[in-house]
Amino acid sequence: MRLLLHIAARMGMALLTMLSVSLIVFVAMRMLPGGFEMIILGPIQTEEARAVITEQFGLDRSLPEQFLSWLVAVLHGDFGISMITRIPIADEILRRLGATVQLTAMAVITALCVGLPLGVAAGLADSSTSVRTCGRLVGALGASTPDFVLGVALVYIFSVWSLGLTVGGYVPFFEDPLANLRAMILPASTLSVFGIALILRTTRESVLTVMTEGYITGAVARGDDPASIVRRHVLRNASLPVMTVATIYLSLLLGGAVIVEILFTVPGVGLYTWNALLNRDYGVTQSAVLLFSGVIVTCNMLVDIAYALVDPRIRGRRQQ
Amino acid sequence: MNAIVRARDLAVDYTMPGGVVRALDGASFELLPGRSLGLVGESGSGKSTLGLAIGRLLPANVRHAAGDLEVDGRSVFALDDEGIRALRRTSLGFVFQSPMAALDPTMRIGRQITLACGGQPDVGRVPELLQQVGLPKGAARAWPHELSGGMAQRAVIAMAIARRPRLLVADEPTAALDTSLRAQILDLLVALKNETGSALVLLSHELPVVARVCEIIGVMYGGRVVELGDSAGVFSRPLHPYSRALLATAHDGARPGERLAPIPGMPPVLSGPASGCSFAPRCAFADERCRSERPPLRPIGGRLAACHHADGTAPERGSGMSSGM
Amino acid sequence: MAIWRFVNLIAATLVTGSLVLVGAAQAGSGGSIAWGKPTEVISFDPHVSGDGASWSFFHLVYDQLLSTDDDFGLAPGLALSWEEVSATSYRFHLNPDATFSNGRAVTSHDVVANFQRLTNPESGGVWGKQLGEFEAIEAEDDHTVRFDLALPNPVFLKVLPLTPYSILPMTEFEAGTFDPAVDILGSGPFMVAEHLQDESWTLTRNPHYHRAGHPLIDELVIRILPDDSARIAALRDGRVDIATFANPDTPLLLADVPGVEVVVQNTTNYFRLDVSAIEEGSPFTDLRVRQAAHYALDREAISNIVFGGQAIVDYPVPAGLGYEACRDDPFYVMPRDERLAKARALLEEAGATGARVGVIGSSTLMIYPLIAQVVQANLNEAGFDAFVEQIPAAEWYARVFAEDTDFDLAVSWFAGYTDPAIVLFWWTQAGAAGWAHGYTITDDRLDALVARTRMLPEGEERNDALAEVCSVINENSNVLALVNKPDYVALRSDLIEARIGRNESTFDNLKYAEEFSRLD
Ligand SMILES: Nc1ncnc2c1ncn2[C@@H]1O[C@H](COP(=O)(O)OP(=O)(O)OP(=O)(O)O)[C@@H](O)[C@H]1O
Ligand SMILES: [Mg+2]
Repeated sequence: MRLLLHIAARMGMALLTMLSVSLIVFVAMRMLPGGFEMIILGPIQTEEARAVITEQFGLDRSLPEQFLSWLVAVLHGDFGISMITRIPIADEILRRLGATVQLTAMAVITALCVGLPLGVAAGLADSSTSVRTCGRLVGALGASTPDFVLGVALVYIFSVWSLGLTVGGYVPFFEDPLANLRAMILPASTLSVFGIALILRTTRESVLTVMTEGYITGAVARGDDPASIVRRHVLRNASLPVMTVATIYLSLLLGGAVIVEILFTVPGVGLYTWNALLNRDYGVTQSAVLLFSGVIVTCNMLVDIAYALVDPRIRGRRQQ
Repeated sequence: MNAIVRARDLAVDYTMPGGVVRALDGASFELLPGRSLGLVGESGSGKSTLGLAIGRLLPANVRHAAGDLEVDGRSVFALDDEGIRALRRTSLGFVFQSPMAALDPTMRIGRQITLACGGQPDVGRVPELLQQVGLPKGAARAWPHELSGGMAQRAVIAMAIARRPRLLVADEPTAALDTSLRAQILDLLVALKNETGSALVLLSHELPVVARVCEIIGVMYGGRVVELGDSAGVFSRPLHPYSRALLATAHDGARPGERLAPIPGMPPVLSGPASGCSFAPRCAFADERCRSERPPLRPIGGRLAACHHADGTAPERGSGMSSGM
Repeated sequence: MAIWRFVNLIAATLVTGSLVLVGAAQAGSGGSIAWGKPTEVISFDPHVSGDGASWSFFHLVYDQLLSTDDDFGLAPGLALSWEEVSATSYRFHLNPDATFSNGRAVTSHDVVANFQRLTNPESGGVWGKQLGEFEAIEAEDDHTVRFDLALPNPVFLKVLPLTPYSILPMTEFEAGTFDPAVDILGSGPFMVAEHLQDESWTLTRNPHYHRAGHPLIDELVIRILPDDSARIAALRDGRVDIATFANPDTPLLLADVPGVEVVVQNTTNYFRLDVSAIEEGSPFTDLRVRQAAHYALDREAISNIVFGGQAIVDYPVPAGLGYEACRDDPFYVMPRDERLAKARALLEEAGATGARVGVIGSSTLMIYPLIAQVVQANLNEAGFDAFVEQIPAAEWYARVFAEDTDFDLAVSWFAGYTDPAIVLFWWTQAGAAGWAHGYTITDDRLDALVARTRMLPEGEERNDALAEVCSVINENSNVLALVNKPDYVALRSDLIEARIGRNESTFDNLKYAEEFSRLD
């Protein structure tokens, strides 16, 4: 019962967060200079023509009115249409979700597959060995190179030597898996570099910290072999901060996905959101941000649960 | 009978960016199987280093400088990695200061004891261990954070004796505990030692406590064992001036739980072998010889002491020491 | 009159006949060609769209009454022939084969309703203004339309090839089955099969296209690839056969890509600098400060630094159209150091030395911020304290093309179209109304002059009038022409056969797309 209450409270908070994010984005977007009617018609245009557009989309109504009608529609499951294409936003987001999900999934998996083992290795290695130095170097470099710098460099490099990879040739995976991978490897790698660095660094720190814990000394003193110590004690205990950071990474990833999708012309939700923001296609940005905040909020809840599964102290606190 | 643990002139250095600290400076002692030894000394005298050295558990920045240490007849510094692990598994059990830190917070007690038994203990072994250390059967289902400090230390002890070690090393096992629990835990250790026939090395600040529970006392100073002998003897008639000082301060009413540092002057921090007696700067009897010539650990009146002036006629405890200090 | 009819008849027969022949010879070669296009189409209604990037797309789907030839001259479009009945009356004979891609023939009614929509202030946008006022638009029969103008407008014919005058299926529009804001349905060579926003357009051949056997290809895929490198990569690996660029480095960047040929497409478009001349607080409300900025400009430097020396200096009367106006204007011909001295003196006189001014170079076009940087350096040499503002399109629009402006200088560009009078119209109060009146001064003398040039037929007198307009514009220093803006079309000439127009004034970059064919 308590647990249910707790979950309900968390969900309430999550919904509240999403609502406030929506409101903030709504206000922020309307505060941006320039409106949809300017973008769609271009600078050389008459006021009458602009008025036709603003009226057509209800952009001439008061802001609270516009927000409320958007909110009510969304609560009824209606995300509206793109003002540019007049296509239902939900359809368009669904169509593009595949690319973004694939991109982020590839990035996360790469980041975990590369970052975790390297981080563990760097954390376990003696301070003198090159493994640790390399780990530190990769961590620092990767974490401090912005996605767009790396992306621009990659786009340039691969426009000169394609090496079988393509830039801007996105094809849905189920249409042509090979072409899809050729197009997705670069953006996913770009996106994963920061994640690799972040996860590597956190894992290394975390492992280093855990290695100084009494129970590790205890296990060593009992004559356990290093491999089983790592398996039984280090990974589990080191995973807590890594999970937190992985969630943060996921939130950052959504932002990174926007940049990488723009750079590599991956037609995902990020590119959609970004173009909509530039084009002042308000409903699209609103809905996409709602989706993003939903994903982030959900991830946070999932990590919470995962935390509790790994760390009985938290579980205990919850059940009391 | 062969000693279960024997140190001969063991010297160990910690190397640090700032220089070298000599933590053990020719420590020697030996202990027969089934016996209990209490090592006492001020903070920094090298007790923990010696305790860890027994299992070769010293941190990576430690250099084995000289001497030798044998456990069960095997020189720990000569063993390969698997050899030392095997030795730890078969012959040694360790209990450290902080029981909470010694338990993996993400694992139930029962599981941790099971692992300590080697992974696949006989049915009934875990409850047996729990019962041996005085924990209820239900404790197996508990998470570490659900235990009190005393119970946690019992669990740690259960893990330490899980594979019936021939030697149990306990480094200040009660320092992190409530005063009321200390005697219980020490008594448990002694009871277990008697029950299982293992030897016990107990590292502690408190001479009276050690004297009460251990058969033999070793007094450490400056990385050496400066006096070694049966408890009653050392406690009633300490030979080494440092032992006497230690005893005197203990009697001057050090309250339980208080750190001991009432002897004037500072314990030494060595960076290499001491040229003379390292207690000389603080010793009322020190002369030129004490400062220039290392006193060997020699048999005097049925025990061992490392003092040029100890002649077996040391005064009875408490007689006039304070006036000399 | 009779002669005209006769000529038209022959022309029509010849054209149709040759088309049939060509069609017979080439029909069915088929295949698909992909175009790497840097910008997505953002508005679908050609009548109101003001976006060049969308225009180059519309030409593939929509037809206009007239089109242009390779020398900026007029050529037949939906109208196979036309006659100037009088100075205010024009008659067009529609191609009887012209058919919308839904199979319905283009009729006079479509044309009439089309221009009614364009000139209706409620529905048409700014483009109706270029047409002037109509007394009547009449369908004389199913394929003949007559326009009666209220006043003579010698450029009337010249605007008709422009994108906003595309002929929409107005019958369907009136029936409510065609919404130009959403639907794309024209009589041009291609029709839209699929649109994946930000990704691609798939165009298939209009089976009813009036030119028999055309287009030669079955499909034209447009891939939206905003990044220059991405388009280059796509050209290299054959994912696109043709790609358009705005970046003057293009020929250089593509030099070592095998099979690629780059065509520089001359246009009549030019970059310009808008100067905030009426906003309170702007230092440029003082004519001397505006002129100082104008004198300080170094158009050669812009060409050299930004365009690798490829761009030519341009004038309010677009250089691309071949007029000589403004060539000896002091703002252009004075040596640079004299101009700088002049600029400093003017600035001093106005007490504006050290004036802090922002140069907006919107990130809409990669080139804008680069030009803004050169302008900034130019101005600083003359004693301004200039800085560059790189902002997104919407913000630029809002700060410059609004009632309440908030800027000092902004880089932009003008389309020069097919005749100087068309672009010069934007300099007048009527032309600027609704978009540029927030930063342009009112100058009745200029308005009168522009109106006059519009009325004059080609010839000496018109050239003199253009020169006068030009010098007044330069003197006002309110909108400064900078350098020409060519387009670059790169194609895999090893894979496709594609004719690319060398001179283009209507954004119809792939004007001959219906003749494209694959070599493989
Ligand atoms: N990890 C280490 N690195 C460097 N020096 C150390 C380290 N551990 C101990 N030392 C030094 O070695 C000497 C002996 O320390 P040790 O911990 O063995 O003494 P101790 O008798 O156990 O003291 P305490 O009663 O404080 O536990 C001290 O001078 C101490 O500063
Ligand atoms: Mg210690």
